[in-house]
Amino acid sequence: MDDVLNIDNLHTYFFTDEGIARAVDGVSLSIGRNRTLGLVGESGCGKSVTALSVLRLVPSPPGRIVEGNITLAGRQIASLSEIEMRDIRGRLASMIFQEPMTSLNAVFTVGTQIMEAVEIHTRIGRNDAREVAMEYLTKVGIPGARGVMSSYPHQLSGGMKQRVMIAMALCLKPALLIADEPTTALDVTIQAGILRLMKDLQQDNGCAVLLITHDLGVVAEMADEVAVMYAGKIVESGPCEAIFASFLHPYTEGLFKSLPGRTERGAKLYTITGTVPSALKFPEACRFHTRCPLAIERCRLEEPPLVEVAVGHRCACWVRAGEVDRNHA
Amino acid sequence: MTESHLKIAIRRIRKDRLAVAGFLVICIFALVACLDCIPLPVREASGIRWGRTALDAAFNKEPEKSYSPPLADRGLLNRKEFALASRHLLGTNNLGEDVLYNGLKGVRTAFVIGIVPTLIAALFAVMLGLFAGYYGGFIDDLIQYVYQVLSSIPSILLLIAMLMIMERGLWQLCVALGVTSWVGLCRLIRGETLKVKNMEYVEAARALGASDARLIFRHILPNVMHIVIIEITLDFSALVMTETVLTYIGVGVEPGTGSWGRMIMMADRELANGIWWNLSTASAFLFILVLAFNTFADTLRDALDPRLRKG
Amino acid sequence: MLSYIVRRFLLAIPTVIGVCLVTFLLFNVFASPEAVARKQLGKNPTETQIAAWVASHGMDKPMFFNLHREKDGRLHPFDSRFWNHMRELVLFQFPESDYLHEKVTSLLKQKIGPSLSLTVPAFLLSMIVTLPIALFIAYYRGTYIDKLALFICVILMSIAILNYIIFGQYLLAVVFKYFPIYGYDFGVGAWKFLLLPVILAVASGLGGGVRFYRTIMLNEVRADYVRTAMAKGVSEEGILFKHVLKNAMIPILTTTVLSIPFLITGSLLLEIFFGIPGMGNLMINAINNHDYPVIRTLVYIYSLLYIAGSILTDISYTLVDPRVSFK
Repeated sequence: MDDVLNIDNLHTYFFTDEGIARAVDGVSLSIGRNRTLGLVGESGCGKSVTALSVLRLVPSPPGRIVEGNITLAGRQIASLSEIEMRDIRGRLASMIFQEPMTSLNAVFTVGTQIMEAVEIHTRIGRNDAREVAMEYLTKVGIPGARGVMSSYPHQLSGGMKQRVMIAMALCLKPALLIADEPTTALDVTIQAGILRLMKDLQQDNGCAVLLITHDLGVVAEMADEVAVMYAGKIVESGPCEAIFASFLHPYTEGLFKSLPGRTERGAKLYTITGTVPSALKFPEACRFHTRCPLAIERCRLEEPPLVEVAVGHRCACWVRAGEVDRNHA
Repeated sequence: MTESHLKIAIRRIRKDRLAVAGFLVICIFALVACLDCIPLPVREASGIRWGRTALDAAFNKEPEKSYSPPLADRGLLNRKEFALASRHLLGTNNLGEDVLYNGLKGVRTAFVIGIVPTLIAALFAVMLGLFAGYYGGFIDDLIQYVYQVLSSIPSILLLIAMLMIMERGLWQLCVALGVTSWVGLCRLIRGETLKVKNMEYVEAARALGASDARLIFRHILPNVMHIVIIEITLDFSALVMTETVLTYIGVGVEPGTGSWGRMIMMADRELANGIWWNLSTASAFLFILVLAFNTFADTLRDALDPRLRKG
Repeated sequence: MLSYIVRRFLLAIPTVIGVCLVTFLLFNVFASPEAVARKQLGKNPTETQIAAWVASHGMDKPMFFNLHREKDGRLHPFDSRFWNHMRELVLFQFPESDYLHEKVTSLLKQKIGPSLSLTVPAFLLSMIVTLPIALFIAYYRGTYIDKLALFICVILMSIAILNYIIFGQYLLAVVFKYFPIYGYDFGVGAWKFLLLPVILAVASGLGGGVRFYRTIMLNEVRADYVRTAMAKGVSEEGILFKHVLKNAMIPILTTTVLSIPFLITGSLLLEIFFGIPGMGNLMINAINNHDYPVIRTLVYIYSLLYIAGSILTDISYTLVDPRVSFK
């Protein structure tokens, strides 16, 4: 089936006073209809920048897409004009962000903001737009939609605000939803509800979802495929079950081992030694070699390629994956 | 402010060429001001007299009789020309004083007025702001009441009122300006103290048993200092301009102290008579110094702003 | 809402009292009555003259409590400098000017009009000119237009207001004779005397104003909700003129409201240079003539205006920002 989103060898750099930050340095991924891809990694690995690049929302004085192709529902993103891009944003692909508190405009009512999305992209009148907005508020599980329409964001709880954001993002039935850490800022008890909502709506809409998170639990709930990012590159990717059952890359292993659930009572919690490198100065060759317990001489000299070790399961590691595609299906 | 923050700030400032130019201009002016601070004794019949500075020594011109335009060789007194004793790069004023010399004498005054009041204000502001922010409760309420009252009185009026009561003079002016302007800085410092007070490293120090004084002065104070530095550079221009206005109104520095405000005051009716060099010199000195400080202060503020620090 | 306003006024009372205290300290404690008398009476006054002056101003009374019995045996404990001072201010029974021999109240009535006729047009014109320029620059943020405009603003800000006035008056009124140099006409004829001062007032504030509004707007542009709006597909114009502007109006409005009381106080320098008989002129003359009653009263009134201004600002906050309520 045709991919809704196809990213091919994306490089997004930031040109700052202190040097060039290669935030995304050769990322390729694809998502099909009704599928969810979880993009996992610690902060600073480039996942958010990847997402922003899809909608060309990377802050443009310092940042720029330097290389690569992004295809969204058949359209080549890089070659579109700004006006065409604006048409796509919100309609063909939409994005929700991490901080619902500040992501909504405090001086406009919830209703106005949802209706704005509808009114920009369609020709329907105010009253119809209002109907659409209320319909989606109900769909995202907000009781008393009519009242909420005329409330201001600060009058809603965090969870409700995020539901409003979801309603705003999905009311035009986009083909792709990008969710950048949608539940990180919310209470754990609310998180499950939001995730379930997103899953249900995805079934309804049939849209593809790019879910960005650092939380493996969220990935387990929501994702069909997983891609693990480190230092601007994808180090492992594949179907969710495969990765969870038989992860290969030492970084992925580190992430799993760090989960509290995996540690025995009374034992020390596992942490990956070292810290995430700054995008201004990534390590040479294999970017993880400075923190990797398995690093060999080759890791310091040559960057490992992403090789396919099983169906759809790719890994970039000299020790665990080698250099030859083992799967020739 | 830690070492690395200072280095980052300096690097950022160096990138902005205008700011660097501004800084150089400030340094040149500062040099002149310093020259004017070095007292040189003069041997006279009655003994040694102080009061002459290095600047005076460099500019050893006797006053002429009256006006003369820049680089002229003849002056004008009561519509009659007279010969000039020496060349004057920027002309002479109605008392025959060299205009360039008067302008240079004003530099020291400008620097004193630009910096000292803020230092005085900072003294009050930092003390009271730190205590108000740190202790909270009644002390906070009291200090806030005090500055609420003081800030309700328009500062120009408070200033003029104070100046009328005190004698005229440069240092009195500094004190008055300092006392009327500490409120804004105090608010900022109190706000910053509140923010810093709850940060983890302060909690940690407290958990280790640090005393209040130690917490305030060793942990919180260094982190609010950047506000003071920014304030000093930002207020410089405003203070210098205020001095010119106050001198113009008549409550500024005493006669005999170099002051661009005095030059402007004496010169503003001269324009109608075609005498432009006195006013222009004072205005130009003022403009250049203020512009230099404005450009530098902006960049300094951006460089020290914690929010703009990346990763 | 009404209860909120009333509450704010009540809360302001301690501040007002504080202001009265400060003025008392300033004019009674830090300045001895004899010194003031000396300044007022000119050259070499005799002891008797000084004593007479001090007595006529009530400055010979005790500082706080009057425990002297009068000839008829009555006690007026509150007939002291402190309580007289407080009564004078709090009850608005303003004294007489030492110099002009007119009650300050009637002086105020005469002078407010001219001051307002200068400051109000300057204020309005300033807003009309600077806001659109700031919006324009915000639209082109990051480009050369932005950098150039910022540079020009800094230059304009670095020119002292004295220079604007002196050179402006000289060039436009004396040399080019576009405007009258000096003077004022009560009534409708005032406008031609006001044109130049108003223009100069706006010009001198242009640099600072544009920069200030630009900073506010750029602060808003960096906010998260702008990112959300862009992700929705809102155009650059929509973002600036709808989202940013409405949020920016909050700080803009509040600083504007705060400056309204100062419209009444007039612009000292402009009134001196252009001979406009307003409050600023009153103040300057009082200073030059050591007219303490006038100065005292003016300080008090200006403080009241400032406090009123901050109450107005708080109220406008609740009206403009949905997040702020009357609690």
